[in-house]
Amino acid sequence: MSEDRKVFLNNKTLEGMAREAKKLEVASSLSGLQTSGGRNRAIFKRDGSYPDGELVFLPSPAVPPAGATKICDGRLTAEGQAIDITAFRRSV
Amino acid sequence: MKHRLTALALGCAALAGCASFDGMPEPIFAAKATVDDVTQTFPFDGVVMAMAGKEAGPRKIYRNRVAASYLMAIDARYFEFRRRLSRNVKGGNLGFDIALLGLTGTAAMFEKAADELAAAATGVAGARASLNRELYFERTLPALIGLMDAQRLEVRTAILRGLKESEDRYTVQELFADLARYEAAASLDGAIQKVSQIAGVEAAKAELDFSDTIELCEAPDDVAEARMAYAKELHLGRTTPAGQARNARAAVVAGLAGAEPTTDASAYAAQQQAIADALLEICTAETLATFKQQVDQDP
Repeated sequence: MSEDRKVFLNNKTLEGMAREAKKLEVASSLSGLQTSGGRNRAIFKRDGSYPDGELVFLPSPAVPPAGATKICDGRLTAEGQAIDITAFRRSV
Repeated sequence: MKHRLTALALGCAALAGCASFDGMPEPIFAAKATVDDVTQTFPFDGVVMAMAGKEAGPRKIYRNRVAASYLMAIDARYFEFRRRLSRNVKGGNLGFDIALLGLTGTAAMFEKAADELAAAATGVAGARASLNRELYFERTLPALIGLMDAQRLEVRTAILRGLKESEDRYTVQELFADLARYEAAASLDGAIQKVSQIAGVEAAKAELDFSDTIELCEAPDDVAEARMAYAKELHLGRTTPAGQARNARAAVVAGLAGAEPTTDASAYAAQQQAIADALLEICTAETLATFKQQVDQDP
């Protein structure tokens, strides 16, 4: 059961995808974001954690939101455009 | 005589067609004057010496003043560089030469500009040989400028972040090193190399296999919160025999046949993930209630 959990993201905006990904952090934490053929997916590490703090996806290069820590760099298709993004977690 | 005047006029008109014109307004800060002023006012050695005699508070103020001046000077030179590029392309009289770039090699304000310059120098050799000169500038220049801007922004962001720190955490020497990187980021050669890297990464990304990716319903916020709370509740109970039994029942309901109460970490992790997988497929309050009922009914 050590394989990552990989889930399609269906929201079209970065904000929506961040919200969607947050809901999926059950006994796992976000570790990657990828796009291919216009579809996006989030990769979750099955580490048994229940991380607090909302997720924020910003186009790269991004200035971290105040008090946020970087999770990973990735690439997502948002509103038809594939863009490099950086994922952050806000502190609670 | 009349024919000669007409011919002369036509010739002048043709020559005028070759004249350069700018695609940007004349800058307020002339690059050369700005650079000369900044490098004379804040020479590196002088800045380091001046810093030595200051207290912590004034050090930060002085360092940030130096940084702002150099950023302005580098920007002034960069904008001049862009104007020259724009003028050359629009005028159609481009003389492609590395010297034109102005921001690399001997023209650089900082002569040792980190890895970027060395990397860029190797990158341009192959790129210059393979790219058609006209095509290169007219069609790819906007993209290359965009990349340069992005790379400059990246370094600038790091500098601005550093300037929030005290001088002992972000020293003036580090600042100068970052300024050199900032200057080097504005290099067409580096941008070409970046394009090659991006192309390589894009090729790799195009081959991503999503066949192991699952489709899940997106739960409304209240359901997502409720199932998360339930998962945490089960998890927190794992230290007691009753909680272990409850987790085992939940794992069975989740589809992990034969799950038994356990204190073994890996056995519990398997149960926990099975429960999480099952909960993530629940997107309505009713289904969640049913799941809970099956778990919490009398054993």
